[in-house]
Order: sequence, then C-alpha cells, then structure tokens
Amino acid sequence: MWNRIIDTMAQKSASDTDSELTVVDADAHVQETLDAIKDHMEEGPAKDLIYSSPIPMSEVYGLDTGTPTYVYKSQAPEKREKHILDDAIALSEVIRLREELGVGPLVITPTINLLLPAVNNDQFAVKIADAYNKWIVDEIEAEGLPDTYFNILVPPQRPQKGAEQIEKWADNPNSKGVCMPLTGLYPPAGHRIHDPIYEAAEKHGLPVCFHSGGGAWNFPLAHRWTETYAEGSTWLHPTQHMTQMVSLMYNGVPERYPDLNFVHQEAGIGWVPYLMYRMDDHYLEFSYEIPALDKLPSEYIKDQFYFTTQPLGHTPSASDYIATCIESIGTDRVMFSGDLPHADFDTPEELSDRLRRFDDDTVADIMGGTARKVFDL
Amino acid sequence: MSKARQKHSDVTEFESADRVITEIKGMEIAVFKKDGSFHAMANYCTHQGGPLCEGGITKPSQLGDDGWEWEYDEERSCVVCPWHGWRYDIESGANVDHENIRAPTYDVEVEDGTVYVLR
Repeated sequence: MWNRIIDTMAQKSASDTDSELTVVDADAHVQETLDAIKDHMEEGPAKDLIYSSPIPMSEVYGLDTGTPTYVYKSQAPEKREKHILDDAIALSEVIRLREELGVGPLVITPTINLLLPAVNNDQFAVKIADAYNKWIVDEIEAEGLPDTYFNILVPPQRPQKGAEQIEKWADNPNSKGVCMPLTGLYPPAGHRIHDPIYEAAEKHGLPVCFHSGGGAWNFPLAHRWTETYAEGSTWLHPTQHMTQMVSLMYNGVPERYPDLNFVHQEAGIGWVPYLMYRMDDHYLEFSYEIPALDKLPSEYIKDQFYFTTQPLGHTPSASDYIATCIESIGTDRVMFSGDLPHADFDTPEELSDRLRRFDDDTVADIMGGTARKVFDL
Repeated sequence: MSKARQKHSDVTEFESADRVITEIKGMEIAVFKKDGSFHAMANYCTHQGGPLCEGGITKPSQLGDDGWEWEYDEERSCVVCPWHGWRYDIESGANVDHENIRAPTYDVEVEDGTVYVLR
C-alpha cells in the first residue's frame, strides 16, 4: 500500500482491533434469514403465519428481486462453503472476511431486514425486529470477540415498539446505534410518527443509521418498470437517502433532537454535496415552508450527520474527485465502510487510494477514527 | 470614506407607496416606510444581483408554541427578492434565514419633507 498510515492501520487491524489506529467498517452486514432467527422469535399467531408461508420473501417482505443469487455464486466458490442467498451468512463468515481484508471493528447491519419497512403486516415487522435483535446479540456473544458491534433494528411501522427495542438493548455493551432501514420507509423519516425512535436514540446517545435497500414495491422505489437488479440498484440507493434526508431535514428532526447523530449508509458519498447545496438553496428560497430549521441544512449536516463511503463506485482513483467530495461534506463527517460480505463491497485500499490529498491524521480518521467516535467504540 | 447626505425622495411620495427606489451615485437604493420610520437598503440581492427591493413585503415564518403550527414573526418585516425569494429584514438588511448574508443598508434622515440617505 502506498501510504504508511494505511500500512500501519492494516497491520494493527489484523492484530489489535482495540487500537485507535485501526480500520473500522462502519457498515458491515450479516445476512440473516427467517430460518436463522426462528428460534429467537416469540411464539404466537404472527410467528405461525410467518413460518407457514412457502414463499416468505414474497409474502412477508414483499421482495421482488433482491441481490440475485448468481452474484454470490460467481464469487470465489472455493473459499465459501455456502454462498447462495437462501442461506445465512453468519457472523463467523463476516469475521473471516474482515481478517482477510485487514479490517478491524465491525458495526453490523442486517441484510434481509433492510426490507423491514416493506413488511406489510405490522405484527410480523415487530416480531421480526425483536427476533433479529435477540439473534444478533447471541451471534456476537457466541463469537466472543470484543470488537464486533451491532445496530439495534427497529420496526418503523410501530415506532413505539422501536423505542422499546432501543430501551431493551441500549445497555448491551455491543449495541452502538439504531438501524432504521429505508427500503420503502413510509411515512418518510421526517414524519413525527417516528419521534419515539429518535427520542429513545438521543436519550441513549445512539446514532440513527439510515440504510437503503432494494427489491420492494413501496414508494419511492417504484419498483415496477425497473426490470433488472442492476437498473434498480443503480438509482434506488441514493434516491432513498435523498428522499428521506430531505424529509428529515425540512421537518426539523435535527433541530428538535440536537444531540442526535445520523448516519447514512450504502449510497456512497457522491450524492451528499449535491443535495447539501441544493437543500441550502431551497431553504434560502422557500424558508417560509421550512420554519422548523434555524440554520442552513448544510450546517446541520456538518454538526449531526455522517456518511459511509461504500460503494465508491467506478470513481477515478487517479483524481481528487472523492477527496473533493469528502472536503465538501467535511473530512470529519465521512467514515470508511466495506459492506462486507455483500458482493459490492469495497476494500480499505479502494478508499485509501483516493485520499492521497489528505494528511495522515485525516486519513486515519476517515478509515476508522471517526467511526470510533461516532459509535463510541 | 465619509458619508454625505444624498437627497433620495420627498416624504409625500410615501403617501401612495410603501417604498421609493432612487439611484444615488450609481447605486439603486430603496427607502421603505414602515410604522412611520424610514429604512434604506440597496436594491441589489447578494444572491445573484436581482432587484431585491422590488419584491413583496412579508413577515418571516416560525413555529408556534406547540412546535408545529406555522405562524408569522410579527416583530419583523422582510422584503422578498423577486428573482429567487431570498428574504431580507427591512430594518437590518440581514437575510432572515442566514445572518451571515446581508444586503447593504444606509442611514436615513428626514428634514423639511425631504428624505436623505447617507452614502
């Protein structure tokens, strides 16, 4: 690797994940399945219905096309025992990949349950969120590693139930944030219906992590007519974040919860400067419709918002494009994410190669220092 | 640079208008009459140079005591730039949405029915 700070961080990540100079993946994943969390789900009519379905991904999650199975099948089959979508990619596999790539601490987000807002039955959504949280806690404790953390999954359909999940798990030593999936999140993130979640998260000092996902029907995804996975995935991630951020911002959520941090995951960072400047322009032009804010949207972003870098996309590594984006947002606002074990993951070098303009301290912050601060690792 | 009194307008012109715009030393300057007082501001929006003082006059919006209902800030008046809607406090020249943005303002004196701007 070209940069001595990255060399040092990779070495330390492999051997000493408690070191302040380690690469943190601020958006790693497990790939849970309904089968995996079954034993953790409360008995009752909701569970019976969920597990009686022969096609639960369609009937429960409303999934149309998620990550296609051929994506996983083509990936280094000799290194994986199981890699088809129907099987869980549990924490042990993610940790193996982490060590292979020289990444240190992981902050875990679910995979299938990025679709949780699209679950049409609120009873199911509540039970699934509860079961997932119990399962991931057990998974982390079973691995016995002190540097693997999770975001508490909340069911947006029933925000008060989401607040109860936060209250339940906030004191767990491995819970570091709240996972608010964005796939078809409706009402959008700025609606007051979600206030119990924001209130509970702020109370416990947990950042709310917004994570986009695909394959469902809900607005604003408009899944019909996006006939391929590629077409949907290309635009739905940044679109979800943009839609939800505007709602969050213009309805004054960061103003009402000034001690609450927000993390936007898995849309990369290219959309952020564009939307940030656009929101500022609209605020100055239409502030009579936005009395909930007391300062420019960009000022809230620089105070309370963070962004993970994956996917970097096919951005040129020989230019300053990514570095300029990061400077526009704020070098203290951006965190490396690998998105392990998903097929579109980024290696740490993929980001560090694009940070040549920054000094060592800034690089260290982007690669892991800021995530340590945001998630209190 | 010392400021000199520049004749701007006659008080009688404000009997039928809430503002008068006059060019003084190459700069269009508007004088507004509000609650019996006169306030002068450059007819130039610092956004993209629009004719700021030709816009409508309104009051800034804010949230009520319940933290939700929209209401007007009755203590302030602002002129709305007709180009992009940026809004400036008539008295201070400050953009009502961002204090670092300001339109130039000028002192006003009235004597013997004549409105003077100091520039």
